[in-house]
Amino acid sequence: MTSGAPGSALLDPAASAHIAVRGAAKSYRTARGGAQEALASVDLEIPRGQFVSLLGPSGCGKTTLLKLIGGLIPRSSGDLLVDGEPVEAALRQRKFGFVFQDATLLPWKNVVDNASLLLDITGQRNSRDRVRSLIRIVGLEGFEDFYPAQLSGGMKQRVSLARALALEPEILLMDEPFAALDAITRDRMGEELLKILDGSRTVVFVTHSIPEAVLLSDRVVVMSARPGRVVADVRIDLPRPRNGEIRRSPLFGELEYRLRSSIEDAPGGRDG
Amino acid sequence: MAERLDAPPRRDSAAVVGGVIRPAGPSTQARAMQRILPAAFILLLLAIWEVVARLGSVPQYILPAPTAIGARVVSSWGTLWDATLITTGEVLIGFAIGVVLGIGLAIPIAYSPLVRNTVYPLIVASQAVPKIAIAPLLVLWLGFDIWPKIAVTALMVFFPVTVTAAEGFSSVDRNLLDLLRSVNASGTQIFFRIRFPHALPHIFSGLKVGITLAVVGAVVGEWVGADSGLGYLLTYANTLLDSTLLFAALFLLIVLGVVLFIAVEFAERVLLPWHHDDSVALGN
Repeated sequence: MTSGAPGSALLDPAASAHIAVRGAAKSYRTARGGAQEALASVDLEIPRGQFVSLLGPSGCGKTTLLKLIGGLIPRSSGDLLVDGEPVEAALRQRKFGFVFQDATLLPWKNVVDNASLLLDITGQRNSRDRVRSLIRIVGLEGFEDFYPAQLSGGMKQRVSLARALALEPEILLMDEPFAALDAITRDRMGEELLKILDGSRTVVFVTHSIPEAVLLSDRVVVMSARPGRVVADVRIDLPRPRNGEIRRSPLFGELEYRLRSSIEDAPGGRDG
Repeated sequence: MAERLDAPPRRDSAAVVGGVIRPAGPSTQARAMQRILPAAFILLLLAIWEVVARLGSVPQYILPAPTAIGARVVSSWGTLWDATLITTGEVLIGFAIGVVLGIGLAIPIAYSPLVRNTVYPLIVASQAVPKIAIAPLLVLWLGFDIWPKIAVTALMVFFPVTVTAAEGFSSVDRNLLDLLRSVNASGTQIFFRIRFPHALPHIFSGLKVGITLAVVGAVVGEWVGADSGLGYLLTYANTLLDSTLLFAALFLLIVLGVVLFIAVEFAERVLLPWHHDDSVALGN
C-alpha cells in the first residue's frame, strides 16, 4: 500500500472499508419492456483514503457504478455501504463531492460564486474565506471575478474541483474529469490533482486512460462491457508522492502493460 | 509558453477591460464600412423607389414617393402620433400578458410530461388558427374597446415565449441537477437559482420573436374593430385610397417594431451580460 491509506486496509478490507459495494447491480428497462443490464453484480471494498480508478472502455458501466456509489441513481439490487451505513445516510451527511466530465458551471456566476454554489444551497454563506483559499489551492488566484466563458477548459475543471471540495467531502467521485481536456493539460491536471488531494480523501475516479489511471491511483479496477463487470483489480505500488517523472519508471510501463492486457483479454475488450 | 501549460495566463498579459478580454476585432476602417454599407444600401433602395415613383407613370395612390410619405408624416404628425401611442399601449399590455402567460405555461410543461403532452397540441392548435379569423369573435366577446386587441396580441406573444421558456427550463445539465440533489437542494432553490437563470437566454429569444408578433397582433385587432390606433389608420387610409397616409402609418409601425425589438435586445444585454460572450476564453 502506498501513502494515504493505512497499510492494514488491504489485508482486512471489510473491517475498515470506507465504501463497500456488495452485489450491486443496475439494469434499465428498455423501450420494448425488456431489461438491459448495465452493470452486473459488483463487489468492491474501498478502504479510507484510497484512490481507486475505474478503468474500462465506453459502455462498461464505470459511470453507472460511480453514480450508484454516489447514490445519484438507484441500484436494482445489492447493498452499498459507506462507513458501514447505507449510502442514503452518507448522502444526507454530504460525504460525497462530485466532479463530472463537463465542469457544469453556471455561466452567470463568477469563479467564487460557482465554487460557493453548494455552500450557498446548504446555507453556509459565511464560508467565503474557505472558498477563496480553495480557489488559491486549485491555482485560480487572481481569477475570482472571472466568468466561465472567460476560462479555459482546464480552468473550468479547477473551479468544478473547488466546488466539490468546498463541502469538505470525505469521498470524491470523479467521472472522467479531464477527458475533455487536451492531452498536455490533462497530464498537468492529473499531477496537480495529486498535490491538491495529498492522499487526504477517498477518491473514486472514472477514466478510460490507462496512463492516467496508473499515475493517479493506489488501485485500478478494470471493467468490461455488456454487461459491465469487474475483470481485474490491480494494485499500483508506485511510490508517493508522485509526479510526471514517474511515467519513465519501468514499473509504470509494466503496470500500463498489465492493465492493457486485462482490458484486451476481457470478452469484447478489443473492439470496445 | 508558461511553465504550467494550462495555468491561467497572467492578468497583465492581455488587454483586460473590466475583467473582459476584447478580441482584436476588425480594424476601425473595416468596422466603419460595416456600419456604412447597410445604411447605404437602404438609401439606394429609397432612391430607386423615389425615381420610379416620380419619373414613372405610377399614380400617387398606387405608390407614393418616399419624400411624399416623409412630408405626410410631418403634416399629419398629430394624428399619427396619437395612433402610435394607442397602438404602443396595446402592444405593451398584450406583450406583458403574453409573456406572463407564456412563462406560466412553460413551468408545468417543463416539469410534467403529462401536462406537456396534454397542453402542447392545444397550444400548437391555437397558433394554427389564423388570428384574423378569430379577431371578430374576440370583439364579440370582449367588446369594442382595447381588450380584443390586447387579447390578439397576447395570443400571438405567448406561443414563442412558452416554447422557448419550456425548452430553457428543461435543458439544464443532468449532472448539475444530480449534484444539487446530492446536497438536498429544494425544488424552489433549483428553479430560482438554476432553471430560471438558465432559461433566460432562451426566453429572450422568445421575447424577441414575441415583440415583433405583438405589433402584428395589435394591428390585426385594430383592423377588425377600432376607431383609433395605427391599424385603424391603415384601414381608414385604405378605404379613402389615401396611400400616402397608409404608407406614413406603415412607416410608424415599422419604427415602433424596430424600437421595441431594440429595447428587448438592450434589456437582454443589460440583464444577461454573461450571455453575450464577445469576450474570448483565456489561454487553452
